[in-house]
Amino acid sequence: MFRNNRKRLLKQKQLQTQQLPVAGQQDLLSSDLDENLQVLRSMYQDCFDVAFRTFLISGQTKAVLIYVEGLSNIEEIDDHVLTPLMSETEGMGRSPRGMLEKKIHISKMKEIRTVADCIENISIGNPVLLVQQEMSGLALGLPKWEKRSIEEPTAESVVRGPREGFVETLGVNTSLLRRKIKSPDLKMKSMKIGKYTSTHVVIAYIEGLVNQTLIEEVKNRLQRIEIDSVLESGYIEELIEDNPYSPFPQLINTERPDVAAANLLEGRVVILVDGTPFVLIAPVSLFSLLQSPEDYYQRYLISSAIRLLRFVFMVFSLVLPSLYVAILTYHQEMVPTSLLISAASSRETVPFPALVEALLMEITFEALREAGVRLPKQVGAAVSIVGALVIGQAAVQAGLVSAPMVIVVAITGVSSFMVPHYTQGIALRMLRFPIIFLAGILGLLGIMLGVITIVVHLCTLRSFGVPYLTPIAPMKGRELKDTLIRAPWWMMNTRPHLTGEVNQYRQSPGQKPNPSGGDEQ
Amino acid sequence: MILFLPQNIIKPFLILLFLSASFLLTGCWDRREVNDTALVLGASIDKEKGKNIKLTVQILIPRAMSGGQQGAGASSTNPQVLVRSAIGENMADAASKLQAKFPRKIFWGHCKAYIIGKNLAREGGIRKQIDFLLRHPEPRERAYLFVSDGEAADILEFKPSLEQYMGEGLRKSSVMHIGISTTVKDFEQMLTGEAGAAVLPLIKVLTGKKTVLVTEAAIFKKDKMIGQIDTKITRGLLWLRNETQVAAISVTHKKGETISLDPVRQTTKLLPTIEKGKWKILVKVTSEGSIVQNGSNLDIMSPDITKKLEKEIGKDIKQRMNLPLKQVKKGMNVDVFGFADAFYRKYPKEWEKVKDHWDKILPQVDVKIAVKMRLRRPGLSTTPAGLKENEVEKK
Repeated sequence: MFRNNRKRLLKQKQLQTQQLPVAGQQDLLSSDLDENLQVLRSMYQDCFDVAFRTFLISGQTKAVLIYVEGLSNIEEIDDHVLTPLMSETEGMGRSPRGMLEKKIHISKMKEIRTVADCIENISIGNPVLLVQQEMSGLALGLPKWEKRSIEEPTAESVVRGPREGFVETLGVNTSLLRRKIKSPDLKMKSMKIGKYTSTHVVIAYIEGLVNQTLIEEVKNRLQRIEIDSVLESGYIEELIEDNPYSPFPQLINTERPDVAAANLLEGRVVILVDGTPFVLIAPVSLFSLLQSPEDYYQRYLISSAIRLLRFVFMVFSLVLPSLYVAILTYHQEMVPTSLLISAASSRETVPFPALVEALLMEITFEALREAGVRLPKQVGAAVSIVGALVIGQAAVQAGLVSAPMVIVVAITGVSSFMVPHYTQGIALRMLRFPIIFLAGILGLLGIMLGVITIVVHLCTLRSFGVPYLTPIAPMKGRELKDTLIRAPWWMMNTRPHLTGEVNQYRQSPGQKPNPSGGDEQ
Repeated sequence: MILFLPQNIIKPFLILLFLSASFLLTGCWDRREVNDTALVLGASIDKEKGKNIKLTVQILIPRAMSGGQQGAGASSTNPQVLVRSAIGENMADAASKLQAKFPRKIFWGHCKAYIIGKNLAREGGIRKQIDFLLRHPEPRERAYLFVSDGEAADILEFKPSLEQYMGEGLRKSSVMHIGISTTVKDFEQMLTGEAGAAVLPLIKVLTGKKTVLVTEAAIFKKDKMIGQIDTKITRGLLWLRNETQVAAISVTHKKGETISLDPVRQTTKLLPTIEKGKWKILVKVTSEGSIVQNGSNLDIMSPDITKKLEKEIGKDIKQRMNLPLKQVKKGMNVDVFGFADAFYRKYPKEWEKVKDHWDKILPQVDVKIAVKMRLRRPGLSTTPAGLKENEVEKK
C-alpha cells in the first residue's frame, strides 16, 4: 500500500516540477527594440518596482534602460550613462555600439544576448541598456542596495578575537574571507540554487589543502538540490546532510570569518549562501562543535582548562536532571546521608514524583529560554525577571517544586549554554528529555541505556564521509592535541588527518620559543 | 492528500514503539520515591523474652523547609528523628513487624550504626542477626557495629549534643578511631578469621553528664561476648592492633612534672617465631611524635634529654600494651590481637596442627614488646615556658 502511495507521490512531484513557470526564456534578443520591450514588459507586468526609461541616444537612436528601483545606483546612471548618451554634441555617424563603449565610463560592463540574461542582470541590480537595431544589450555593473554594515556576531561573541561578522550580502562575505586568506589558492566556485530565488551559493576551499573528492562530493550534493527557494543556509544544510534523522548537526554554521578561514586552512569546505550571514562548514566532528574560536586566541593553558570544563558541562547538560531523577527514585543509597536528608525534607511537600517534577521544570525552563529569544528586546528583560521569580522562588515557596530541583535545572541550563555552537547545544538539550524518561523508568540503568544509544549513534554518524567522533573513534593519537585540550601553537605542526591529509604539515617543527638555548648553540 | 510517511520510517517507528512499550511495561517495579521511604539512621537489637529479639530503629522525620524564610533558624535544619521498636523472632521478622507501624517503606541504606544490646551479646548467637545485615541488599557492610552497656534501644533515644542524631554521632566517633571501630564486614572477617575472636566498641552512657562514650570494648569469642575491657586497656589494645590514631602520651619525668607528646605516626608489627616448639611473638612498635607540652624544667632541645625521654615514653607504651595482654590474653584467653593470623601467615603447616586447640597454645605464647620511639619535633618553643635560661636543666 505504502509503495503505491510512494509512486503516486513521485509522479505528482514530477508533474509539479513541470508546471513550475520557467523564470527566464532562452530566446535571443531580437534587433527590434519594440519587440524586446514587449517581451520584457509582459514578463514584468504588474511589477511596480521595475523601471523602463526610454530615451534617445544623441537625439536619434531609441534606447531603453531597464532597472529595478532600489537595486541600482541611480546617481551613477544619471551621471555616467544618461548624461553622456543624451548629449547631442557628437558621435552621429558612428555605429551605436562603438559609441556606447566610448561614452559610458563604467568598469564593469557585460554584453548580453538572451532574454534570460537580461532578467538575471536586472534582478541582481545591474541596469540593462537595450538599443534600437542592436542584437545585444549591455548590462551595466551599477548595483547598489541597502546592506547591513559589518557588525560583531551576536551568537558567537568572544572576549579576545576579531569582532567582525558575516553579513547578508554574499559579495561582502567573500571579501571578508579573501582579506583573511590572500593566496590565490583560495578558490570560490559559484552556483545558483532555487527556482524563484536563484540564490548564489559559493563553495570556498583552498586548492592544495582540500581533498578533491570532498569538493566533488559537495558539488554533487549541491547540484542535486531542486528547490524553489533558498532563504537561509539551513535549507542547504538539511538537503546535503549525511544522516537527516540525526539530532546532531553534521555541518556547523558560523557567522565568523575567522572561524571559516581557520576551517578552510584545515582542509575543510565552506559553503556561503547569499542572503544569510551564516556560512556552512563541512566536514565536521563532534569535537569541532565544542571548540570556540577563542580557544585558539587565548593562552593554551587557559584554553585547555576551559575546553575540559566544556566537556564536563556537556555531559552535565545531557544527564544531570536524569541523574537527579534516578537517584531520588531508585538509588537513595548512593548519596551521602546528610544530602539525602536535606533533599528528602525539601521534597516533603512536593506533590509530584521526581520524574514529573523534573519534566515540569525542564519544560518551563525551555519555554522561558525560547520566549526570551523571540520576544522584543524591551520585553525580554521583563520575561527573564518573571521567569527567574517564577522558577526560582515562587515555585519553591508554593511547594510545587523542591529547591534542589531548581538548582539542578539551573546548572543544566547554564551548562547547555556552555556549548559554543548553538545548534549542538540544542541537540543535547533535546536528547535530555528521553533520558529523563528513561531515568524515571529504569533508574541509572536507563541513563546508561540512553547514553549508550547516543554513543552508538554518534559512532555510526558521518559528516561527508568523515566519522563524527574523530579523532577519538577512530583514535588518532596525534590529533588529540586539539581535541580535549588545545596544544600550544608550536606543537600544532600537522593538520587533522582526515581533512588535511593532502597537505599534512601546517608549519615547520621545532618552533618552541627557546631564546637562551637557541642563541648559545 | 499527500501522506508524508515513507515506508522506511514506519518500520523503525514500530520497532521503537514496541521497545518503548517493553521498557514502560517492565520498568518502575522497584520505584521508590524519597517521600515514600522511612530512612533508618540507626538501629539496635536487644534480647527479649524467650528466643525473641527487639529491633529498634531511629527514623528520620523529614520536614519541609519553612517556606522561603531563611531566618527560620537552626531548629528547622535539624532533622527530627523518631524511635520505634518491634519484637520478632529475628531481624527480618522484627523488621517486617516494624514496617507495619510505618506508612512508608523502611530503607536501611543509610543506617550507619547498629547497636547490639549487651544481654543479647552475652547470650551469643549474634551471627544469626548479622546475617540479615550481610544478606539483605539494603544495609551497608560498612556500617559500624557497637555493643551497648545497657539496653541498646536507650542509646537511640539519646540526643547527642553536637551531631544531629545518634547514628551520625556514633559513626563520627568510629571514624575518629578514639576507641575500637568495627564495621559489619570487619566483624564478619574477625569471626571467620583464624582466631575466631572479635572485638566491638562498647557504648557507655554517662548518666548525668549527658555524654556517650565509645572508648571501651567488648570481647567476643566466636559470636558470644565474654567480657569487656575499660578505656585504658582498650587503648593498649589499639596499639597492639595497629589502630591507634589520636592519643597523647604523657610521661612524668619527675613528680608533678609532666611532658606530653602527640604521636604523629605509629606502626605495630607482629613478628611470630617458633623456636624448638616454643611460640613467640615480637611486637615491634615504631612511633614518631612531637612534644606538645613540657611541664618540666628540662631542655628538650638537648639530644641527651630527648633520648632519655624517648626511652621513658617507650616504657610507657610498653606498659599500656601489657595491660590488654594481661587482661585479655591471660584473663579471658581470647586472641583479639591478630596473633593467630600472624602465625598462620608465617607458619601455615605448624598452624594446621594447632588450629583446633589454639586456646591451649595461646597462654603459652611468649609476647615480647620492642618500642622504637622517635621525638621528631620539640614543638614551637625551645625552652619551657616561663623559665629563665639558667633555670633550665640541660642534662
